[in-house]
Amino acid sequence: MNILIHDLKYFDETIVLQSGQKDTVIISDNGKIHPCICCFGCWIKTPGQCVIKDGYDNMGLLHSKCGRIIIMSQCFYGSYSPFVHNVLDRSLPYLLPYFETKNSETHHTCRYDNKSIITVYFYGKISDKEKETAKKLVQANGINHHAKKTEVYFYDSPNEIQEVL
Amino acid sequence: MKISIINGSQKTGVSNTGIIVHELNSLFENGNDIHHYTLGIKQFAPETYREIVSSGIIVFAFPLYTDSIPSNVLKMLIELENYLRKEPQKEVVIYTIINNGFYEGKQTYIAFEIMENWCRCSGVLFGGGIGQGAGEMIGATKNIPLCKGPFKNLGRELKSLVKKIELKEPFGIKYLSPYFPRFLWKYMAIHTFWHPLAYKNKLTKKDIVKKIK
Repeated sequence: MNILIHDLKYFDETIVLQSGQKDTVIISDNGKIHPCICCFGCWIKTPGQCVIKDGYDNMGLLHSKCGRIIIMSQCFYGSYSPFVHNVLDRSLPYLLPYFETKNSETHHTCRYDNKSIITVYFYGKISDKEKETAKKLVQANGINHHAKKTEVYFYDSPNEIQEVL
Repeated sequence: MKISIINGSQKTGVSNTGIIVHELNSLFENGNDIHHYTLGIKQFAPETYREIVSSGIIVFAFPLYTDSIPSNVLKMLIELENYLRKEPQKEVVIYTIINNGFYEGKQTYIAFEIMENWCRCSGVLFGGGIGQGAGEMIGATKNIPLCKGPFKNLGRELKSLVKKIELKEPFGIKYLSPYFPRFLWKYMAIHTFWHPLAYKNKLTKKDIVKKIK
């Protein structure tokens, strides 16, 4: 299974379905997402499940079942758009409160055994400096989410991304 | 000196960012005109942006989320950039304090780069700041003054930061980890923080690591 997280107002979902990726779960902005309030309820109240019930509370479980996370996001200052960022913040239940050390840095251990590939398509007017930051961000996200591999691509417009999907 | 301090924590109630902001506030000389703003999970009203930039000095304080800036702070920064593009200001200097749950303050470096990129887009000056590690421990040791104990380096650097803010001069970026061995921090985090919190909810160690199907 794949997950596609995007921030587009208009996205032709048939593109994904036609390209043979029928088992792709599409996460889009319905205007109702609540920010992660760092309550850690997904670790100490209902382990593995977010306590904010707004339709985006199953991100940890979805991550546990997917082989690839595809992200289409406008790039803001080298980061994701607020919506995409919010979805990623809400993926905390995928991890555990425990720590491990990787390359002399502490990171959270993973609740699940699967390892996914994270592919990020950034779009917008992006400076070279922002591209550098975005690459570092995706790589760091890959380490923290125990990804098998990360990939980052930059496009001027979201239409170009829909063509390569 | 007029200074705007924005607490970007999305937590309800007491936050580690709030503790740092409280300490920072106590270090300013009395003559300063300090305005506090708490973002929380809502956005500021449009007139608040005018108020914030009118100070000429803005201090952002927030926790690290997914190696970056919390989504609500990011949303606010986009609005603030839009305001600054419409109403360019002379010499606005931005300082940032970021705390993260991992031991190493260095893990905030990407968020600092994002802040620097935002400053460039918004036509304001990046004044640097402090990237603090072991953020949850700040709350857990809040009865120990920041000038002593595991966060005495944070207390010291906050004093230096305040001096630079009052002069409107760049501070650079200081990455701080606590004065506390990492292995012990890891042990304490599990046995005196996460486990007791989970036990209060009648969970066992087995429950904590449960795989949802």
